[in-house]
Amino acid sequence: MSLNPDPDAELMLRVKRGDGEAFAALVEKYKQPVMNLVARTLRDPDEAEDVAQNVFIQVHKSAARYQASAKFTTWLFTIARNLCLNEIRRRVRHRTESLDAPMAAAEDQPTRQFEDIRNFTPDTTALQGELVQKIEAALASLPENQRTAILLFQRQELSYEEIAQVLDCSLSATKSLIHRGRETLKEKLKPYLETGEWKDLA
Amino acid sequence: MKPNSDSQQDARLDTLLRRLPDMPVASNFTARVLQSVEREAPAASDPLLKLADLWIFRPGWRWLPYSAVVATALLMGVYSYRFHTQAARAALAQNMAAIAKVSPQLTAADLQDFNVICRLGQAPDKDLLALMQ
Repeated sequence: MSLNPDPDAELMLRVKRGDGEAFAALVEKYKQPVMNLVARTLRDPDEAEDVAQNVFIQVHKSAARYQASAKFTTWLFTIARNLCLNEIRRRVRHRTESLDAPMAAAEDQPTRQFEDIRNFTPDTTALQGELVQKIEAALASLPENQRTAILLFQRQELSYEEIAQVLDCSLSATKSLIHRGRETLKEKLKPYLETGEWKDLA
Repeated sequence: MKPNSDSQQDARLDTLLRRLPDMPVASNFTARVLQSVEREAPAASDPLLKLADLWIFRPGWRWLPYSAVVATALLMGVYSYRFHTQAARAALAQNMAAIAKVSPQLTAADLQDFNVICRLGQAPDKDLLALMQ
């Protein structure tokens, strides 16, 4: 019988022992939440995918250091956020050095290729409409820590304490970040929230 | 009915945020991650890389090995200086003792050329000292 109440922590302990299937299960389970956070932080789909993959590679590398006392999602999103911040810093440093980038990226391609059979149906795009664009734009306008806090709170349903750990700040600072972020969003989305146009999203 | 109150707006904002569409993820995402992990596995078994993965080489602790190297170099410098000074003093004392044996009642005039002779870098001529005795 398992003593660990967190099934993800259980999987992570198996990863620690070198269980590849457990790692694949974690990647499958969390690729979407990680991608949601990373893509909304970096706002570049290609970079977001690379960083999201690196998040899981980092998880695998750091498996030996994982302590089961920590909730897996807190640890995972901390890694995701740190890699996003590193990427943003790298962008700032190398803003002008873009000519060599395609070549470097090509060299880094995996030896085996896996086909991406992702579907972008026009219906999906049409369904989301202008409102989604407005929400995404409003989220994008927030400072990184407010946006991350709100996304982790609303989308991943992390507790204030867990978000505070991810953001490496106090509980009160976390609550304040979420409150300020939400106030900004409400202000920016006021016309939509008042007219009820939000129902189009359903 | 218009959602004018704050709580209504909050509730609607919650709904909007929860219903935001997921970002697209490549269908081969997991396969690519697993492949990258496989590729990195042999490299990770490299003992040098394992050493580099020690906590003292992680960000935030990188100052520690550098500081240790600097501190070791400083300690070695101080130790070698003290060793050198002590060796020189011991040699001087040895020379003084040898001279004292020859002439227990040394005067300032006897020692006039002592420093010059010491700088010649030669050990006392034991045979000559024996003859003089």
